[in-house]
Amino acid sequence: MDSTKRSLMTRLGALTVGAAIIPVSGANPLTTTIIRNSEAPDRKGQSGKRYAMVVDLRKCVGCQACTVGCSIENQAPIGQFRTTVKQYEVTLDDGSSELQNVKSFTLPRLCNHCENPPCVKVCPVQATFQRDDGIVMVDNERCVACAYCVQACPYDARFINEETLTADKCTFCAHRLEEGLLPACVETCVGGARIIGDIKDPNSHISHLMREHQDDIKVLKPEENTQPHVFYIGMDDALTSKIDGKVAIYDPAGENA
Amino acid sequence: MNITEILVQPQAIAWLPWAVQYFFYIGSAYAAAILFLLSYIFRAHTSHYLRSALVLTMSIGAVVGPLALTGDLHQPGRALHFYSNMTPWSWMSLGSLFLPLFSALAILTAWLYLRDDIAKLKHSDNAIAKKISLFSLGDWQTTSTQMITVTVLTCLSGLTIALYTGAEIYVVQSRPLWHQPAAPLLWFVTAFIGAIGFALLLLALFPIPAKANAFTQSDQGLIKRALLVSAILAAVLLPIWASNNASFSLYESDAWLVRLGSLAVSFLACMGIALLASKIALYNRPQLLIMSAISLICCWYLRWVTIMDVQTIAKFDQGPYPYELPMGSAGLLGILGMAGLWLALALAASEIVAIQEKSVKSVKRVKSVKNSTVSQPLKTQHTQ
Ligand code: SF4
Ligand code: SF4
Repeated sequence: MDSTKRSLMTRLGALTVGAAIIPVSGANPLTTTIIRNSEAPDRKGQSGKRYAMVVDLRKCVGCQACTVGCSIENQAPIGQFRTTVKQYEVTLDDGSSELQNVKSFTLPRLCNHCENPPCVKVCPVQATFQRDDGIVMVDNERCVACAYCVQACPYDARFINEETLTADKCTFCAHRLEEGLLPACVETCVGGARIIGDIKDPNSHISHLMREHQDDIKVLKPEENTQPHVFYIGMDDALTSKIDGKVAIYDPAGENA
Repeated sequence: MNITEILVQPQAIAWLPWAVQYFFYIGSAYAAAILFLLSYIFRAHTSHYLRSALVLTMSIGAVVGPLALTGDLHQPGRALHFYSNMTPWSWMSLGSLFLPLFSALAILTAWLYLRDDIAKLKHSDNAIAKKISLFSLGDWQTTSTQMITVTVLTCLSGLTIALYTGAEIYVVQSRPLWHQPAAPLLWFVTAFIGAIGFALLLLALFPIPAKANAFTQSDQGLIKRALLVSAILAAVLLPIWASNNASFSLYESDAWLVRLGSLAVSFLACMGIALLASKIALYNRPQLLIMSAISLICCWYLRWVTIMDVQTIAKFDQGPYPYELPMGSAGLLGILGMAGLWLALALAASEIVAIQEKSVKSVKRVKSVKNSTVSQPLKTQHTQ
């Protein structure tokens, strides 16, 4: 390894997000026992890989194409979503000249396929598990739908599917990845804001992006020690953890909303 | 930076009112187990009525609770998956072992304690009662050693329920209001308020003669102390619990102030009836019903606030997420159904104690026991 590369690696490790990348080789067992429920041979996925997603917020226009693409692909019931794009209106009050500018901030949300997934740990029947490639899945034939995982996920990424009556969530479209296709949301994203790939492969597009933007990569709720593997570029700290803002007007339409 | 939510999908409530029902009935069951043990140890001072009310509160709660719990599984038919996939690191999985054990022990304890009462049904004129008397399974006498052993085991088993239900929610780090010691402690102490509430309701259901000596001073003392201590502890724990929410101050929300205020008032009301307990007559139905209603509402509402209302707090967004109690089986109907089931079981069980009471009066007259409390002849077979 040449010295520039080595110093790059050191810098990488020092980053906050480094905490999320290091666990590829196993999270610190002293601080947490990670349960993956993945002993069964059919729960391995694509061993040797570690799927992750980068969401480049600078490119997201909030069009919800991903939301629709996912709904069509994965057939979640109407009103329930594996991924959505949240929208916020933001104004600055720091005295800057941009004071009067109202900006729209869009935040695509999905399961973070956490390296230390609290949802997997709590499941009483080991129905939810994490494959070797990092994808967190639900075996919905085993799931008793106790919703314990829904409670445990700090990101509200899970829900009880009204039709299957089992826990449901984003799978990174594992069924598509296995066929060499991109997840539906990545495929439909008009701005090219969603990039999925194997972060164990240093030559993958996602690895390049993460190296390139290493100073500007954030994850949601880093304080939860879940080590999310959906990384955001162009994120403001005010929106990484519990948001302090004005309430949305919920206007649910129809029974399923 | 000023942030206003424009488009945010609210998260649906994941644990339905069934969970509240479960915590309500199973809590009253394990607390009643502990109170029953106390009343049995001091059986020379407590009345058979109170002990029967406690033992029935325990066993009926231990039956109704688990039924409510299966309702909370959206796939109740898959309950067997718990046993085919044991998961020792998940508290919920451990609970699937602890719970049937507790229910079985609670029923065993109630049966052992009420065996004599059941056996006496054979003197009844009623054909069904005569048949039920067969459930005493023979004429052998329950010894106090048997009673104590089984009751202690039931209490220990009840503590595993308190432990697992508390720990199960405590480990949910994503909700600061659950992930703190005050939460399980609140459920534990208020379980005793629920147990007293159900025991008072049972006392109101027993056809008790309007005689002051049907009850002892210790009966009143036990009710008073249990209510007073748990209501005071709950009142201390509530503000600690409510303050431990780093991301959002409950005190800044009007809705939460109303909830916390109502809880505080209900704890005060419990303290009030506890202080009155030694003055009022335990055979007075209206008084019993009022005291019972206050303590049951207090115990139930605490669970509603700490389980249901907490779920409306958004984990990431501003929230709160809207929740309206549905009318169907996942909501009001389920709540009423479970209460109806409890009441039906209680009415049926209270008949056993009632009929026995009539025959005891004659026993008492024949033997002319010098002790004036009705409890004395009733417990002869337990005390030896
Ligand atoms: S985002 Fe939630 S559901 Fe997804 S892995 Fe993390 S904890 Fe589990
Ligand atoms: S809802 Fe299903 S996947 Fe989630 S914890 Fe319960 S059994 Fe496991």
